[in-house]
Amino acid sequence: MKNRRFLSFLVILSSSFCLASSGSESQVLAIRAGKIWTLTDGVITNGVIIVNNGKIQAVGEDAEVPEGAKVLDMSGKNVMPGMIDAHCHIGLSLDILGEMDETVAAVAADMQILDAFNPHADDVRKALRSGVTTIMLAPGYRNPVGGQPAVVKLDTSKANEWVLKRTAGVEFSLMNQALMFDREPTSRAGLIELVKEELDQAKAEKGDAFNPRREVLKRVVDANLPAYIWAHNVDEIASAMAIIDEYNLNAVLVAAGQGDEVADMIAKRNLPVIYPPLLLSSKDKDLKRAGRMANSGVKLAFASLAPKTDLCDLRTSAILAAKYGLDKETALRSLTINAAEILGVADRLGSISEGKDADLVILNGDPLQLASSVEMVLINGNIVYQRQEE
Amino acid sequence: MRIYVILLTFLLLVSVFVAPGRAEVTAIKAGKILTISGEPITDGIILVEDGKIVDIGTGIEIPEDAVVIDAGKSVVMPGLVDASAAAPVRGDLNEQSSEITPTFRISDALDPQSKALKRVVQMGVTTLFVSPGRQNVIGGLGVVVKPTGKIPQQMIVKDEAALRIVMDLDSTEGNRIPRYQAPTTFYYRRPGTRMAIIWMLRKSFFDAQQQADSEQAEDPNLAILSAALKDEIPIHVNARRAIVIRAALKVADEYGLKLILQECTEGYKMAGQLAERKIPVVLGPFYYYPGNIGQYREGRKVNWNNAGILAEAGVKVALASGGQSGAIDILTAATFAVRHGMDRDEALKAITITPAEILGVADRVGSLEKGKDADIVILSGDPLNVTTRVEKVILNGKTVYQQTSGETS
Amino acid sequence: MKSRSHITFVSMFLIGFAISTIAYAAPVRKKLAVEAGRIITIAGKDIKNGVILIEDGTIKAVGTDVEIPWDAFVIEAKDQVVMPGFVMAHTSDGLDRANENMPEVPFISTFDSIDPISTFFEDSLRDGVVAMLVLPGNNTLLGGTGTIVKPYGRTVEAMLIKRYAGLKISLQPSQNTSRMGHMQRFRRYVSDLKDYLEEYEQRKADAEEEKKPFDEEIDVTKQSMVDLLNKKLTAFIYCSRAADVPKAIEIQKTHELNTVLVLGPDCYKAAGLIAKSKLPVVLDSQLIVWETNEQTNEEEMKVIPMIFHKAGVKFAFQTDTSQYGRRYLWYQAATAVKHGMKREEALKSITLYPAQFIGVDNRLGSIETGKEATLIFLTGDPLDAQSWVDQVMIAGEIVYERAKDERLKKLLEPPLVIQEPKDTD
Repeated sequence: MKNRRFLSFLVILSSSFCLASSGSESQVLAIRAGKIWTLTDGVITNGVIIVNNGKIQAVGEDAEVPEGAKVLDMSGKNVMPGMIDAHCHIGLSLDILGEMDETVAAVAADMQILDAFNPHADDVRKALRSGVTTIMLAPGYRNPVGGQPAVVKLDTSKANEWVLKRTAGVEFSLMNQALMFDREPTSRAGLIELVKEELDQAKAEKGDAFNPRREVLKRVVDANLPAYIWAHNVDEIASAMAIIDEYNLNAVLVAAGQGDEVADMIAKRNLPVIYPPLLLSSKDKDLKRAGRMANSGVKLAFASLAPKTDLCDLRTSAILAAKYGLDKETALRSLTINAAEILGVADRLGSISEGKDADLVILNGDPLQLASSVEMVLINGNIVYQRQEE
Repeated sequence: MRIYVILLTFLLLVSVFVAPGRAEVTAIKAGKILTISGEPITDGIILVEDGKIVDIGTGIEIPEDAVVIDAGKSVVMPGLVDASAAAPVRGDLNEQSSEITPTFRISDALDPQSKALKRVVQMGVTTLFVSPGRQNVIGGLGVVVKPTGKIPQQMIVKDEAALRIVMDLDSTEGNRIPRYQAPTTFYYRRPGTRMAIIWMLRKSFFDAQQQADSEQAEDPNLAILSAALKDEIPIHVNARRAIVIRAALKVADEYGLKLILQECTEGYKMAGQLAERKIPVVLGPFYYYPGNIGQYREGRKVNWNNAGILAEAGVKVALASGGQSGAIDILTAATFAVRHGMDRDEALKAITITPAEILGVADRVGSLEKGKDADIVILSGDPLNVTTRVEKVILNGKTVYQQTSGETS
Repeated sequence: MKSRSHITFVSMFLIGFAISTIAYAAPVRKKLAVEAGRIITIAGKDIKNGVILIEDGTIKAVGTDVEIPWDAFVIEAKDQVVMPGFVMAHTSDGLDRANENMPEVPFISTFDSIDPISTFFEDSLRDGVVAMLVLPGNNTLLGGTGTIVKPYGRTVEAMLIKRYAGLKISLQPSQNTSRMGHMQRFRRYVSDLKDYLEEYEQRKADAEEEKKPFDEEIDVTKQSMVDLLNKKLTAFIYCSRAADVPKAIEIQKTHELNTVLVLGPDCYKAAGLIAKSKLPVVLDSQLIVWETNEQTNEEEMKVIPMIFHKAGVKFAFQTDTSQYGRRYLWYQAATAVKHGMKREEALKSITLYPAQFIGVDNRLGSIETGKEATLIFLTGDPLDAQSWVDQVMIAGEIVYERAKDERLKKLLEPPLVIQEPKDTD
């Protein structure tokens, strides 16, 4: 009863909006799907998702389709939330070593990665086609204190808010790749010293003179802004944890591929981990690590690190991890809701639930099967990609 | 009534399975135990509990539930101590952006997964001194570690164990003296000569003294040097040739420093003086012939019996691998030192208790005594025999290496 | 009178001088007897408190109940160990440069490049080596021919044991060549050589038929390769990687060459293949190789001599000057014994086997009647690091005495004049 009244109200509303606005945003969309992977409320078989005004209005087995709604018949298909690539560098340059690492100075905390983003680049289209709807656009790992990553949606066609966060944190790198022959630091110990020095100076910062670098680092030191720390090998992860402990940082470990060896320590500190891509060419030994980490209680989100690695298809990481010990549900969560929570956008993204953005991916099979392919991608209720049949 | 029986049974069962955790005791029986701190023990027993040696001698009672390692006719000695080891570190061993880097802590760069660590354990080495590289005049702070642990913090026995100073010409390698061109990298810097090296050293100590006397804001680099001046941090100086050793002694006299000499290839020329001043010496790597070895421009007059001559004069001598990953077998170093004239007992001490004393960790390692760490090496025969194999290595009471039965293939 | 006594005096002086010269000149003693605490014969069991009888530089008898002739000069070594001198089956040390720049130079010889003053020879003698085959290095496809020398003598002629021995072939591609190109070069060289020989034989046959004199000799630059193909020279084929081994075996089989394989450390991976080929082998001086176990991440020590020994391969050792011990053949043997090889076999690998590989085992490599009296006197067991070579005898002549080794003294004893200024100024 209540439903009906609500629906009629919607019909009136939507029809009035039809006159007021142009384009299909005002059109209510009803997607019938064979399987809906909500991520928060389990899997719904033969259900419907109602999309209105870019948001998920309702989802369920018997969610009622309002009159005038455009129906997308995806029965037999799988729908999941748009995937979130927790760390990548797409849309930055034609050259892989181009715009993501500004290596002229070891400390580049005031640089904003978004300034270099080209949303029309080829690799952005590639990511979309693979089902990724939101990314954390990040600097690389070649600066001990790098720039500011951003969280953006991959649909910039209309003037919606595709930038979810311009400054999502500050990037740090404790990997050996941040060492350079002819620029400080040249050694690991020098690297650690430099990072600590910057944090110490930020702590002591009084804020009188205009210093954007110190200012943003002060926010990190005050735990207002997360630190995204690149640390892959165990010794790098150990260094990261030591610094996090010392400065009481709000932090996320990036590319902590060997984290399973110290998973208990990571879990104890509630440190989430953005996991590096798993490739078909990865060693068995390495494919098992993600599962081990998750089983020790570490929250994982997958990242493609594209175009630094060949992986633009984020799903492959989840599929391989699931094959080698990560349980399926966690694998899916690590593509969606986990990333949303880590990046602080879980109020809007990461699952198919009422009130969240209508960022959806439609596949012709189980998302964790390599053979399944992405057929359609929606962002804010708009079809931004549709697979053409040959 | 029955309920009491059930309860009692239950309690008994619980007590059996949840017995108060007494740490497991290990007993090692061996035909010959070289304690290094005293006379060798024949047919002795070492009791280990909680990673420490709790008792050692003959006729010791072995607790019933102890794990027994029967080493039969094998020879047991303390885990070896390498006072100048190949660094288990990834990346550059020096911060190249400056010549004087006292705050550089090599412990920040330790890599527990280093292959060097895994290999060195198989040679019987259980304690290592890792120091910054040789490219800087004042390289920074070294650390004493054991080849164990998942993260660096678990490896460390003593951090900030010594300050490394290199007075050989190594630090001039790669320095491009700016002459006519504008510097494009920080390698365009001095020093290029030994005069400059010594000058930089003097200046650094001088500045440290000045800072200590003044009210200025503390420069952390100078703070470390101040601590070294006050003898709070031991100083290791790398010096090969006699003239460099002499220069080191001069700077030491000027600033009242207590030194430990590393490498000391021509130390035999001044054995008496070194003994008089009580300067301990860490030798290594070993060179058979003089000349310009490697990229260093200095020639050295070598004496194969450097260790023997120094030890006989009364100098405390440690035999180390000298940071060469190919020379990790310090048992062989000791064997050859004896071949060339060093006293047997001195040679054994030179790879155990002497380096432990030099590094300031002799309270924990270097000999088999009650209360020390259970770092034990079991050998197939006399340690100073080239056909002797390392059969087993125990570190902190746990077996970390065991030779695979039969020959290795 | 004055002149007569003068003549007498002068002649007496001259006679006296002649006598003293004869008396003090190093006599090449005809008969010698060595009394040794232990004799390691290599050919059989060790002999305790034995005697070696030597006549004219050749071993006449060995045993415990050997009667010493009255005119034999007795060398007492009752507290020493006497064994055959060590033999090096392959070395490229002692040359000014081991490699020539051009890839195909089989006509050059190490005889022209051996430097008798090189410390390599002085050290070798000091360390008990009595014969070594010096061959060109590993950087040249057809490197040249070798020379067997003893590390004693002021000139190469004086050091000479055999002038023309072994031809070095290296399968390690030189800079800018791939293995494909390298192998093809070899095949083409041999094919061109065979064509040349065919034509040569044809000309010879034609001359014979026409009853004309034929004094054409084989091109001097091709002679050594011809000798190789006719099995007059042994091929020493260097394999830097395991992948080179099948190629070496192919070369040996195709041309039916007498071959010794000289291996790089990686070649242990082809031990089975080498065992099947039954070719003798000279090991690289690096006897220990570390491998990371993929699964466990642990470092595993691979002991190369044991791998070959278990596969049934006969080998000899090489030395280098890189680390403790590796400069000594006895140390290489001791390393093998350390990891399980039997003493006797290890000792053979530094005496008899290398002698066999280089074709001097009729004279060297063991203490047996009829072989050359080329022995080393050790202060203890050869595999004990505390033993020193006390004396070296080559063909009955003592050519090295540690007591008179000045350089060794300087390297072991404290400096005579200790320059230690009292103060640091």
